Amino acid sequence: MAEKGVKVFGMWASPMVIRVEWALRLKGVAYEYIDEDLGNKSDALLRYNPVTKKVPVLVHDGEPIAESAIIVEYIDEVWKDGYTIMPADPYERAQARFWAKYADEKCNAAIFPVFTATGEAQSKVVHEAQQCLKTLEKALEGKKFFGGDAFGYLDIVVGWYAHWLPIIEEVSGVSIVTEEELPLMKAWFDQILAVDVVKETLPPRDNTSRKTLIYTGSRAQGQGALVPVGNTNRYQRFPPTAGNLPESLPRQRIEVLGFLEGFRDIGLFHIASMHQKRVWV
Amino acid sequence: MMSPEKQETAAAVRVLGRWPSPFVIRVLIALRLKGVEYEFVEEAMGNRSELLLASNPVHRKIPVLLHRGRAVSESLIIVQYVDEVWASQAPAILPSDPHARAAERFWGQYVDDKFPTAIRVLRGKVAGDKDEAAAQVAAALVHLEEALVQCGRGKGYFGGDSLGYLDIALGSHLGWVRAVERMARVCLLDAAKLPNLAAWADRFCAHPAVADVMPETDRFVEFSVNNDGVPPKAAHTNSK
Repeated sequence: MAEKGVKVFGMWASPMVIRVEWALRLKGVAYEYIDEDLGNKSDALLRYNPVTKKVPVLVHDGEPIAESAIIVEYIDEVWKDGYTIMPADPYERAQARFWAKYADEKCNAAIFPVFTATGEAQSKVVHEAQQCLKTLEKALEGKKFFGGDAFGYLDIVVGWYAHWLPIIEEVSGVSIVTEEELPLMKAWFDQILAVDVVKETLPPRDNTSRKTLIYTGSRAQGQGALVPVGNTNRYQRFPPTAGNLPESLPRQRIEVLGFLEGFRDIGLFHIASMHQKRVWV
Repeated sequence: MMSPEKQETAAAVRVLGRWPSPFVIRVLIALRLKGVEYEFVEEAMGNRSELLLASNPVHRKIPVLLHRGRAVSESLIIVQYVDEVWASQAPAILPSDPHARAAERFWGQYVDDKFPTAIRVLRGKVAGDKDEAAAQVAAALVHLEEALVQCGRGKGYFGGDSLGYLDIALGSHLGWVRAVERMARVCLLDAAKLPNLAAWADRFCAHPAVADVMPETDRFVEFSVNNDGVPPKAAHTNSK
């Protein structure tokens, strides 16, 4: 007997997963959310997405779909009488898909180095990230959302910037989306953060009850853990082996930078729950 | 000599491109499938036209479809656009069932993740490990053999009875796949291991919408020899 209902396999910090949740919630579709430990993927996930093994995966009545932007279009097509996600006009649809691809391929690749670069190299990558976003910003001209008056497909695809870019800026000690450089994008951030489905689903930014995240780096690249530099807001790399980390380092809470699907070379995040004691992973 | 109406219609749809590009080939196949008349505007090698730069300022790449005074870029996006604009003309390029559509889009993206760079390496157009590139293509084809059986459900194409989106996405690479098999002396589409795909490949290449826009393997090999740098048999010569 075929299983019924909607499941989302995700990782709570992933901006790609959140796209799927936004789309489902816009349509008023109930779903079961299954959180994955990406360092130890479930059999179910591997069975549903054996080809890329990534989250998000949507399982609808037992049938899996992978790739977040594709899932969003699927949701719009299946629940076609609900909220309209894709534009109706073929040219507008092509434009929305074009910019979604541009954002995922070019902007994400331009943003990621901001997080890992330091010093002079960092100002260069910040500038490049801004250039990329300025190109994308053109699609906002004269509009409240990329979708026009209403939150739509492209807003769903890039809306994660509104929450995650300020976090990246804070952790990296830079400014990317400013009033001077990217006024339309900055204004759009406010619009995005006011959308109900966005508010319902964003992981907490400033949360005192805390999960603390230790970035253990890419297994392939051995980039190591990110540990704080003294009492500053800056972080530096530390050898990758858990257990080498010295006891004397102050405990820091860093926000999750959910680079998963878009930033393939950053590797995996491990979530360590650190309430009152230190737990290294 | 075209009638004035046909001339107007033909000029109404233009494709900027170059014949060896699999991405351009995709667009041409889609238009031919729909019976849409178009003008092919050939871009010169290594010299982007003003029209291209104006039509695709973001990427400055071919193909670009010009229709109703507007430009559409990115081959698979163009294919979907063609499917949607000429929705009333059979055949449908994407299937109507949402799950089948999502599956074809997934595999289309997969093809673009796995094939273009690997093929460029195998052509010798970019530096890279040819063995690794060949292994990547071969592994991808194993997955696609399975996908063909699942999506096509025993019929001739990924799209079932008729050639569709995923057929176009993958099939457009066949010209170069066959060319690099010859030039790099590798077997990528092994008929013994991938019987369904092998049969599909012949069927695809012979399809009326494809045959005129995807030339014989010889032409691809010749193009590569003339344009991609070191010729295939240059192993022991003093090459630059």
